[in-house]
Amino acid sequence: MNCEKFTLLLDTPETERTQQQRQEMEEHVKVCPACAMAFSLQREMRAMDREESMPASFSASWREKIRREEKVKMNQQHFAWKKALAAAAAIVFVTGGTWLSYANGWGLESGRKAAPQNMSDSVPEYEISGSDAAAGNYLMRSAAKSTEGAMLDYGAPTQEEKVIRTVDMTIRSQRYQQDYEAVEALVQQLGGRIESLSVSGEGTAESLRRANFTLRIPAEQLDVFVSGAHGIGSVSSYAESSDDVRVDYYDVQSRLETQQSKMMRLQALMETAATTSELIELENAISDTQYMIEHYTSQIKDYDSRVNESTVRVTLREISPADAAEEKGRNLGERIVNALRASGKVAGELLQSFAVFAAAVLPWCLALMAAVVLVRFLWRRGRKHKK
Amino acid sequence: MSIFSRRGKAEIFEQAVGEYERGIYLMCLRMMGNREDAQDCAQEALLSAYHAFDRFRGEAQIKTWLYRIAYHTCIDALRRRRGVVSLDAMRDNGFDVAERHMLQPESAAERGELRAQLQQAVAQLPEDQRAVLILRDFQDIAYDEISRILDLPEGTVKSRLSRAREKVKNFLKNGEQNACECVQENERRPK
Repeated sequence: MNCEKFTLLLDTPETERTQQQRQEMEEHVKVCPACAMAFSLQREMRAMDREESMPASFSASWREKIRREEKVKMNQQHFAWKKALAAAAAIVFVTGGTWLSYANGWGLESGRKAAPQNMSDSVPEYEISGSDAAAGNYLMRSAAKSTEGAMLDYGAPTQEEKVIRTVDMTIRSQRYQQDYEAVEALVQQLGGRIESLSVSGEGTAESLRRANFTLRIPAEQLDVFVSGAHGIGSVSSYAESSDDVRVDYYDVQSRLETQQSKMMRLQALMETAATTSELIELENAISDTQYMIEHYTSQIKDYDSRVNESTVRVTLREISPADAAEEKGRNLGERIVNALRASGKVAGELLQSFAVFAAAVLPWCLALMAAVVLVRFLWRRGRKHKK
Repeated sequence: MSIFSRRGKAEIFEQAVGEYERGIYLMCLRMMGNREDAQDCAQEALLSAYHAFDRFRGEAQIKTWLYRIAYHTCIDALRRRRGVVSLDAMRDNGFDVAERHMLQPESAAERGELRAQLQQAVAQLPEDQRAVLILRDFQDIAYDEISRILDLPEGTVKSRLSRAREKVKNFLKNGEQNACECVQENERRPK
């Protein structure tokens, strides 16, 4: 082995040297003082590290420090979690409270549910112009209607309600033929019928087409029909009236029952009539009563028909492509303004509800805070006494 | 981070690092020249590693990563100290300079003297050469790993090692005369 190879081996990690290489190195150092010195120094340095003992305090010290740090960090994390939970609970409390206040009308005389009993009287009809206003207000009308239903329940009526609903709507259509067929299909699908139909126009720019439908739609399907109709073309006007005829209806019914019982009594008297004049008089009375019975029955049937089948008058108007483009631009502005108005109104109502809720819970919060302060004071005092 | 939440970061770190703590301590001891500073440096290095453990992606071996942190910690500490260990300080720490130079120690006493001289010789080396010598000759770490720890090309590691060995030999041959020259050289080096 020469010095160059020896140096190369000296720079190889000990674990990578073979037994033979080690022997060759041992032999080389016997004859080469310079390599012997390098070899001896390296061996001595490694021995120094091998024999150096690591202080036990060092090992324990850094371990303890990192464990302490971890503990502090975990405590901080727990604290952060607690803070987050407290914040979430506060948000839920405030939001929930505000919503409850809004939904139940806290602070109103008897809450929102105690609005006028007969809402149909106060909001009997919705007159809307403009297609998107119609769509937006249709939702409002539905909401009002559901509230109305709920309110009528409060009165616990003994008589079944008899509401005649009538809808008038104008639909502007760019695809007249398709929309015409869609109206027919919708009526058929909902089990309604076309009571009358008149069509005019030739489908040219000078003579646009127009169809006037008078439809009878099952009352329970009316909302579905109106909702579906809003998807056909563009609703430019919408009017709905709902007339509760229960007073008249049950009045007529009661009169009918009176006449029917009168009829029965008259027929009983007929059997006991002794003279011709009595018979003639009874015949006349029966005839009059029969007339009244038929009259009231006819009225009842008419009411039933109008209550069970709502009347919907639909005017389908064809519009030219130029009008359609102009309308689109105008409607966008209206929609934006309507949306802004609606959201502003809701925000205002929510703010009011929040203020009402805050006022409602303030006394409780103050009481709770006072209790907490008192408990802490007593607890600290107890600890001082113990000390 | 998910494994930390299950087992605890400290526990995982201890397991990963426990194997190398002795090597780290010894490297710091040879770099700093006394046990107190070595202990402080090694502890600081391990704490730094613990803080950075979340960001350790396993791109390097954990040993390389730890040694690199320890090396930089020692360099920072030496810079703070502004200078090198004086011969008096070394004597105070029990590293007596022998009057004679024994390269083939016969007895335990002679060996002790040689080691004291060696420790002193290492302490006089410039920091970059000292680090290479410690990693290669004391700790028997391969060149490629040293180059990764110190972030240097292998050729530079080899040349620094060669110079370091030469200086140690000269120190042992010529005694304190050389030591003083080394001290002066270290003081001239830009910090």
